[in-house]
Amino acid sequence: MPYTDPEDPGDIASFNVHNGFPEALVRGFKSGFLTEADYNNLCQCENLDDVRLNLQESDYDQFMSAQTKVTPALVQEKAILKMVKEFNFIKAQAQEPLVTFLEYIQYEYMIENVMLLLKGTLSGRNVEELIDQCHPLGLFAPATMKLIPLFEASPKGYADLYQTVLIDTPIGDYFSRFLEEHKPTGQDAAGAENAGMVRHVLEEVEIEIIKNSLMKLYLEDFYRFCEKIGGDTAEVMCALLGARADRNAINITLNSFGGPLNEPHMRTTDRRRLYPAIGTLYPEATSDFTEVSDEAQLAAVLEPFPVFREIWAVHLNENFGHKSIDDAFYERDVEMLELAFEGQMHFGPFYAYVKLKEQEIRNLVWIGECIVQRQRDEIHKFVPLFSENAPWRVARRGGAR
Amino acid sequence: MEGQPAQSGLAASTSRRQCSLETSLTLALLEAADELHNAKAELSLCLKQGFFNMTKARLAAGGGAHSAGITVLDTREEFHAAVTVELLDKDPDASPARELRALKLPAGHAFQRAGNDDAPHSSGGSVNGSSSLRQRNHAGSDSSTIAEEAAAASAAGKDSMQLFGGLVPPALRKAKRNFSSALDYVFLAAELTQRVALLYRAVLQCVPPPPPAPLPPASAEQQQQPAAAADGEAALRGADGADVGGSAQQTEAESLAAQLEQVELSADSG
Repeated sequence: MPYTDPEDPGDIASFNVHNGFPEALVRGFKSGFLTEADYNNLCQCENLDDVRLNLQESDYDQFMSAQTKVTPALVQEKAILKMVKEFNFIKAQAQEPLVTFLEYIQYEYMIENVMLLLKGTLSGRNVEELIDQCHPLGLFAPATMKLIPLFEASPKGYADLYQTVLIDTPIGDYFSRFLEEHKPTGQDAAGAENAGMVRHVLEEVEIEIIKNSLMKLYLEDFYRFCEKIGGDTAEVMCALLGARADRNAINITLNSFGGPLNEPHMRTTDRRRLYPAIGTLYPEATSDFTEVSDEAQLAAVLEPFPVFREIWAVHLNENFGHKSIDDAFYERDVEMLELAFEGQMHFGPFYAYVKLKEQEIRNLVWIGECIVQRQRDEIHKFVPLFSENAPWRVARRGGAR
Repeated sequence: MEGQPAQSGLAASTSRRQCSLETSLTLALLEAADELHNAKAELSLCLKQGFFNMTKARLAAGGGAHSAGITVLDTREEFHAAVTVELLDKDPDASPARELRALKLPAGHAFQRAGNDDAPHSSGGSVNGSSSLRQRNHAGSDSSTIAEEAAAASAAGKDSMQLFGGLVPPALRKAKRNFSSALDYVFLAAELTQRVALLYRAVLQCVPPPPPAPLPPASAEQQQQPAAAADGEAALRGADGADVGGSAQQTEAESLAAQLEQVELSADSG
């Protein structure tokens, strides 16, 4: 019996009624991930043309057949286009609430694109050049895309930008809430000073802070949406988004060392506002982060959390030729995303597919860069996907990590 | 006849001095060449690591090449290098001694580093380098001493990492350290290249000219000319073959060696 609630994805009895085909599609695309043998062959390549030839034997097929000169950036661009094509195909077969769920996945890339356009416009870059560099998964209406870089640094220009970004993009709500948090003292957010607020934010607040603030709001909103869906989707997605929020909080703190955000007065104000209100580290650890000013203090705050204690140990050993903290986070993410594929009747596989594809593209770029820069010793330091020899699978089977 | 033992003693002494000078200059040349080779190897390693760390930073920034962070937008036209180097316009009349004097700057180094170093300099690619963004000096003239020119700061104390926002990955800071160290090695290699060139020239001046190549068999008239040349050369050499005629070159070489020694002493004391 078909369910009538559009916000209910269904359970074991009814999920496949409306979501069975898209799930079958995403599991079919899952079989297109590169295997261990593919990675071994790629690591043996002498140049990027060999990489292209080897990729032709995989699901990537002729994705770069028309290109004469191959570079890592080109491999990344074409691989992303392939992934976006598959994503759009899945989305075309989806119904609510899966459509909204897939749109939430795209909002992250929309935020990236809007920040790119704003930053480029403030730097005086060419409009077409900026649009070419936007992530294809985060594109919205072409007219809106072209309007953003064309705004003038005048009151009317900022008012038009406010209208364009806030009203005509799906991430307008996040921007509105960000402006509300950063409005100058004494200004009425609901009044006619929107252009002034936009101007103040763009001229005074650093782009990185705007971007991380929007990402924080996005993660919290996505988290609430998944909680509302409930069931296995909520269980799987809340864990994934919580892990993402934890990683963001740690990276923001670590990356701020040596910069202006690590100043005492900035830690308790601007930096504190970037930490998402979800995840394992919220609220105690993120509250302690406001007092952290160096790596030793950060390590002390992470000590009670076994997962992050292990990841921090990897960071401490980085100078001895081992992997970096980012590699450790990627490995953890891959473990959780692969496990999301293990279950059925929930939306986790759709999110996992996009993120795992991103990791695969990152692996391809890594291998390409190692070949170009002749860093043969480093070429194997990528994160394998669906590999029986992945560190976390070996550990679960009882072997050493 | 009585003057012969004195003359032979003088020639022997001169010959020993010449050999000693030649040996020491050759040794110094080989040592300098070895140091230059090592400096170039370190430079190559620092550059390689720097570019690799930039790649890691780009991947860590998230969003790949489409990130609004590190690589998509470069603003080189808004900022200028903190360090500029201009080459010496070689004066054709400059003698090696004058060039040595030009190199002899305080602390025994050919360059002065300007700006605020993050940490004391040490070898092996450790933390070093200026963190200021400065305006470039407009040096329209082509001739100036080989020196590192610190331009006036347009935004004093601004970290170059802020080009990439306030939240840069650690890999990018490592890349900056790598490139700063590479810059040190570039200057060191330039100094050593100069030193090698001067030492090589000094060694050449010490080495006696090679004997003339034997002429092919020819007519009697042509045979008279080489004989006359050989006589002249024998007159130059003296009784025991000592190169009396090359004494001017030897004096200059000794002077060069003495000045090189002075430069080294001032470097040690600096």
